[in-house]
Amino acid sequence: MRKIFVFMMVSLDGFFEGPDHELDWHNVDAEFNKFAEEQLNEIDTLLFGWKTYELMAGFWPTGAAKKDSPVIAGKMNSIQKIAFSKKERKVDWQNTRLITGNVGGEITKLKNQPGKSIAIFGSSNLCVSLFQMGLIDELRIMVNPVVLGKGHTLFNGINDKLNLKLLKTRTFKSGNVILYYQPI
Amino acid sequence: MRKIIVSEFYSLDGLMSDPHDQMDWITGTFNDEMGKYESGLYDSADTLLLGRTTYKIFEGYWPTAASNPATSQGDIEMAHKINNITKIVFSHSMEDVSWENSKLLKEIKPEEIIKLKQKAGKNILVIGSSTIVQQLTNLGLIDEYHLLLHPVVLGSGKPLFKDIGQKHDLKLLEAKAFKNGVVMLRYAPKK
Repeated sequence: MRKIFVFMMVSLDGFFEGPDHELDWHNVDAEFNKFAEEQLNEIDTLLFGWKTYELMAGFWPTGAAKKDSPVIAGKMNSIQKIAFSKKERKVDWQNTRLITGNVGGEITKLKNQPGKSIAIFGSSNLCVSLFQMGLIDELRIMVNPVVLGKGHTLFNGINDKLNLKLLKTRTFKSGNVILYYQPI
Repeated sequence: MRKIIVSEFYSLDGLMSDPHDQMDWITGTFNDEMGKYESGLYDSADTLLLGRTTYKIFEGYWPTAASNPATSQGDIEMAHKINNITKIVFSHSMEDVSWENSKLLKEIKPEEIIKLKQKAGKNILVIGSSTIVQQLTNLGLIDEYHLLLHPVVLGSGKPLFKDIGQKHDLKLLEAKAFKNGVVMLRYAPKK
């Protein structure tokens, strides 16, 4: 069965986005872009909760994204994407389909298909549901060297304490530290 | 000028304690490497700033720890350090403090903290005490943050940086993984 991992940028105060879903604090540089490219090469499917989908769909297809990070934009646009929403919605971003129900069943089906790993970027609420169903195999948290002061806390709404096992860490020159964990 | 160093046990979701101030997520993983870090930290300092909640937790344990037969050797050594260090407690509601080498102040006055930093001596520590961390962060008086990131998402509890309200950019000084899965992240404010 293939692996599902979560990749999430967080601030030192545990926020994955600002109060109005801001992501402008992401500390990215050439080393990060190389990492992001390599990470995209590990996967063939990307899962998003609705909010994150909207943010991503509003950025990656634009000329600005293609100009700033052409390789990553190319991969983000061409990769197979699934957006989860409770409501029926229109999805315009290329290679995206919408799933509105039975999240657990759909993801289990996906995991059983042959292929590369599956990733979830951001999408804190979706992650909370999937943690509770035991469907996440790995967690990659990139801690940015910033205290935001306000924002939305990652995995808010999780009922129980989530215990993790540290697999490895990597420090970036920018001051970001990525932590790889496995739920236990 | 001596430094003010904040050292915190921390969860991945930015919390410094769970809703009931239970410590099992910390004590369950505490190991020798962390003991060594803590011991070195206290050796580098001669003053400890505390808020009321952390003071009460510490005062309930450390003054009698060394005489309790169940206490580990590591904790006995820590008890001597913590009992001996000068402790300044900030509280509006407390009337007095009985723990040895403790002093009670009503509130943080920036000029007094600056004066304290300018005095000769070893470093000044802040442990736990989120209200103190918040006030001193907003005053720009903290020189180093040591976050001991535990491999856990707590879900609910007390945020370390609650009333910050403003973005603070930091500089990573060191990231060090301990064998028990705790990662120590050491930062300084970006000047």
